[in-house]
Amino acid sequence: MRTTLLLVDDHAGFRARARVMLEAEGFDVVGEAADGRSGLAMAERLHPDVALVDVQLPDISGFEVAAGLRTSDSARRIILISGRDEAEYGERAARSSADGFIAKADLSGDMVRAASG
Amino acid sequence: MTGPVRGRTAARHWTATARWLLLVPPIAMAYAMLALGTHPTAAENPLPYITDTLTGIVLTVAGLLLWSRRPGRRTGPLLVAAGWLWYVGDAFIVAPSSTLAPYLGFALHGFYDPILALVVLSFPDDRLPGRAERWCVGALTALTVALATVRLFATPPGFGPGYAPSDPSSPLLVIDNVDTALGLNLFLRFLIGPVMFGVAALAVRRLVTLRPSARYVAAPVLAGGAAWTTFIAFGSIDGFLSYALGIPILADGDVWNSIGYATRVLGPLGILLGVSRLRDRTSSVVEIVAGPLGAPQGSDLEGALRQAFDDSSLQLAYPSATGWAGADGQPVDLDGLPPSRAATILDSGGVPSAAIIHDEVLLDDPMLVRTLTAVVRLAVDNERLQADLRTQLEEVRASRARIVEAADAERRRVERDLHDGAQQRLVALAVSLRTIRVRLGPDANPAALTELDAAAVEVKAAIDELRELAHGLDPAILREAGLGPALQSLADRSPIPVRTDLQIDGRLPARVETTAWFVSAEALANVAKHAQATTATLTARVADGWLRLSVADNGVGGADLSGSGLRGLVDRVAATDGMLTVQPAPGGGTVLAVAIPCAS
Repeated sequence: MRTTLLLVDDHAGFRARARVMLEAEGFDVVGEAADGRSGLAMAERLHPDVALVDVQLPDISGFEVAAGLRTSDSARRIILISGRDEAEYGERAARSSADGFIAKADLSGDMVRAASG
Repeated sequence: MTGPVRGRTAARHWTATARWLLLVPPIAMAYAMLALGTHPTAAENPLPYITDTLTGIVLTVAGLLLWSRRPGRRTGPLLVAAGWLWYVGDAFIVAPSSTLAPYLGFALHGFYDPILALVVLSFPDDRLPGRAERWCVGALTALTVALATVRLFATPPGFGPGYAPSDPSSPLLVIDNVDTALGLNLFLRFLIGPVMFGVAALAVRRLVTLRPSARYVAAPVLAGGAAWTTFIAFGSIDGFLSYALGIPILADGDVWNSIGYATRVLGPLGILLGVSRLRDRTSSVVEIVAGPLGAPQGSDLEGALRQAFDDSSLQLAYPSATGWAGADGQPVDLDGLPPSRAATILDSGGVPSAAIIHDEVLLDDPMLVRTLTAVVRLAVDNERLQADLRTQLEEVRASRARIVEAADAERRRVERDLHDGAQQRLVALAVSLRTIRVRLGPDANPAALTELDAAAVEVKAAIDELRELAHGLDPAILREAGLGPALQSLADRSPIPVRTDLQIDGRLPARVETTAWFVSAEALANVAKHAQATTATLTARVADGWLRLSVADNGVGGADLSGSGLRGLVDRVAATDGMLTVQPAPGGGTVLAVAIPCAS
């Protein structure tokens, strides 16, 4: 059974390519959301195995989305992603409700599997 | 315009100088009296004789000083007249007794008394303050005229100018009876006594009730005058009673005479002291300007002037939106001042710039008023220039802060554009390359896979470089998490190990955080590039409304503020009213320290 995945990112181009890449790597991308609140609502409905959440979102931050997802227990694993690197966000991500952090440039199926344990 | 003004000034100068020639006759008379020693009491008791002889000179000097300081006022010429009249009674020394001059001099001998009473009671305002004073001076003048008339027309032999019984009688003699002449003379002098007591009492009353600023000048005059007139009053009454009743009030004539001469000296000396106090005030005003701190401003100036003039109610006022206001901002009504107060208004280019509200007595001394206005004008101009300078400095500071703010805003815009534009495209490209790599599978053409991996590496490098560039422009972590996490991130990214000691709770004002971050970033970059250091320490703490931050390294040292990078940091820190210093570290290396005010 393929791992279901919810993608929360405000850049449509990135979402499109990430979906193609992750599906090619064996994931089942069950949903895409362009902002934090939509992502939370979608997770409540879809209960994905993994939620990939961009740190910078137009409405609320990825850290807040992660906290919401954790509270509602609507995603089994939460991974923060960002165009910025780990030196900038890694420590905050570690202290957040997320299970891991991946720089977008390093995004791959293997990285998602590693981060989601 | 300049010529006539200069001419008038020169003429005034020569007139003032020539006026001192008025001192020649009293000096000549005093010399004649002392040299010839014709005074009957000179041999018995020389000291009172000498002081008595010099009194006229003292009065003349005091009068000339007053005249030069208060031209156009009557006190100076009156005192000079009193000084001259002091000697007319001794005209017999230089004038032959066969002429009328000695007799006229003898008759006019006492006229200095009403003049001095007038001066004492009207000093320093130059006007008699009330009816009692006017009555006293008027009565004294009338009695003195009467006495002069009696002396002129009823001078008995032996009581004439030379005090010599053998002197011929006055050519104007009408009453040739010794008892009648002496009786009239002593009776008039007896009447002068109570009037003189009145003058003394009025002088004491004036001494007590006079405004403090005027009292400072008038006190010696009033005190000396009171002593003098009291003595004359006693002498007059005593003389009459001893003659008429044979009962002298004062048994010991020597003691009485000594007291008498002492008090007669006190009057002129008091006047001289009073005049010198007028001069003192000018010098004390000048000291305000020439003092170690320069001309004071605002309420300091007001306080200094109050002290200088002993006028606790002296006030400075400045034009306000509604008229005039004091240094404390309270409205001041220049038209509603009490009669004892006067306002001197200063203008600058025809526009009122300040007003000095002072004791009206100051107006009697034009030089003092000129000095006062010059001091205040200087201070007001100084204050205005300093205010202009402060305004300009504030404008420069605000302008510098705006420039820094604008540069920061532009950095944020460029960072956002890079992050949302080029960086996102490169990230999408990297993901696409990854997708292609996955789709091609492990069995694809190895050369193609190698090329694909190389492309992925290039894209990744491009993303990293772009990210570093964007990070340097406007670190998101600083904006989102604050200075503490941003500095920790900066230390983590440094190529050399950086130990941190960060004590920053919560957020600081944005410009403080941005400045502190840029300083730290630049300092750590310099350490990595130039210091040849193996380790660095970044400390930051907030205390007492200041953020204090330092970057220390163990490198070769030698950094100074003349480098363009550090110079830029100095400017940037200065825009936040902070300070930046660079010093050698103990044991080698460099310490860059910054202090920025951060109280909200």
